[in-house]
Amino acid sequence: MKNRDFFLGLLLALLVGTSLFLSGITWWRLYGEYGDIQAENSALSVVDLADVITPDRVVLHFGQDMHSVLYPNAPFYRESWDFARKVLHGKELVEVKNAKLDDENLRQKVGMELFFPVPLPVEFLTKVFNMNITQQAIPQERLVNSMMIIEDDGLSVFFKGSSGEFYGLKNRESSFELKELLERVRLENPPVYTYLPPAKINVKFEEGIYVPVSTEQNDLPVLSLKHEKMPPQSTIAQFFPDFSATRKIEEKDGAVVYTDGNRGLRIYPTGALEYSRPLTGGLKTGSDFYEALKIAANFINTHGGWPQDVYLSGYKVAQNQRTAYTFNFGIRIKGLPLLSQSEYLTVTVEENQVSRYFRNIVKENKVLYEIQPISPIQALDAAIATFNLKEITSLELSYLIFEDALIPVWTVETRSGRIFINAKNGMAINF
Amino acid sequence: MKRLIGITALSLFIVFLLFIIADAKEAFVLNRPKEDYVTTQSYVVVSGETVADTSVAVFVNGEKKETIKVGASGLFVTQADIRLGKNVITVKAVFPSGEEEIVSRNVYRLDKDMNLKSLSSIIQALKLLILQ
Repeated sequence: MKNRDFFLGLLLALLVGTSLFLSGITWWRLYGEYGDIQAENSALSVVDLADVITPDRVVLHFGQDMHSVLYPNAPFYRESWDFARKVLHGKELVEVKNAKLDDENLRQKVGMELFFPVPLPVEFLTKVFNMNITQQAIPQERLVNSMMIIEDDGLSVFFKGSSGEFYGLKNRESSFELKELLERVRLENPPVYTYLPPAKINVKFEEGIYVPVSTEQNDLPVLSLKHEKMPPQSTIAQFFPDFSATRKIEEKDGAVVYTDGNRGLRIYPTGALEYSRPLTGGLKTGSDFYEALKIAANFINTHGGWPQDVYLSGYKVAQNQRTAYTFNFGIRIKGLPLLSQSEYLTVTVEENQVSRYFRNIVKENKVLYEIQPISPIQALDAAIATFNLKEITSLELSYLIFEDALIPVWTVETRSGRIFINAKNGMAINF
Repeated sequence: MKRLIGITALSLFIVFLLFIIADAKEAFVLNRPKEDYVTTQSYVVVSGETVADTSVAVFVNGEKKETIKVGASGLFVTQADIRLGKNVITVKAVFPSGEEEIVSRNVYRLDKDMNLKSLSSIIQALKLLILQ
């Protein structure tokens, strides 16, 4: 009898020990995952809007028709962007009326061109870079595609407008720092590119492209992906002024809805979240583009954190009774835009408040294998041969979510839509 | 009357043929290098545009360096090594129809130590030297 009690006691102690051990392991794992998410998302006190509009690429001009293209993860990209910001800071911007300015001429000079991910209003850029606008007002609706910094008996700095117009800095400074930066890049032997002007013989290709001169290109990884995990309770509570007054509803599809009767937050089983807050319409004065984007970026920052490699990929301004700004944010993988049919991060700002917020962040996980991407000309050849294209508007190396992996693709844009060419083998992807 | 109809029909046929020939005229553009291009690099980029399935051969100073089969886009890019001084880059395109087109460009390679700011005067001097 005594032996039996001893045995049962031992068994009980063993079971309790196993249970504690397994619970400990589970909590440790969960804590680790949340820790990773917290570490991946920056806990910034305020988001710098210059980091939201980081260029898609920086094209360096070394002269003698030698160019190099820096994508956001490339060495010297950050330094080039910081240099550009420094050059603009506090300077005076004027509209340039100079017939001599043309792309081909500027491209042959020593300098750099920084391409914004989306055309941006002039006035917005002057605020981001703390610039001054002269009395000669530049209309607010004017959009800027890129920024050029050129060595031309000093430093010439231009914003290139989407209608072909130029805006420049009133005063010219020394180009020593630019030349020194370019020389340091050149000594690292970056991949050399050449410029192909717009094509018109076999296919009408509206914009010129930079293509690598060497057939060998840097390898790109094919990656597995992961989604952001379910937001913790502390993040959910931030969406409501009084979280104790909210109701929690669990839906059949696995989504969980929190509502306080006015605001609603739906958390999908994938971890994506959607917040909406109908506005009363009481406030008639809206914010401008700069203020609205600032509100959107800070809302993201305080509601889940500012994810790394996120940038402003598009926006829509709707002007009805009040102005509504809808900002779309994209994700970059290895410095290249991640394309998908679904949205990743969208914020609508009306009446100085966020009325809609959608967040479904995808991140790179592990490298599955590496590929050497085909050249842009091979990608164009494949797209034209497969789809019998006669007109192309743009060509861009990017990433695509395909069969639960992040794969490098060439994205060919036409007037009727996008075509994806697998950068590994030149095959068209059904998407 | 019959003869008149015959002559008219023949004339129309000839005009039609001429239209077809004019339309089928092959196109070839050599974007790079530009004429009298000056560089300190040991190579030049050769790029251009033509019709699909054209065969493009690149010659440097008469020596064949590479042959490229142009794809559906009609675009081509390659690089060719050059020597110091004057170089003649010749690009010969053989179109799918069998027709040919040849374009030549003079390219000058200078020593890296030379001051590029006075390039125009150097080109002139170089040209004079070669012509002599």
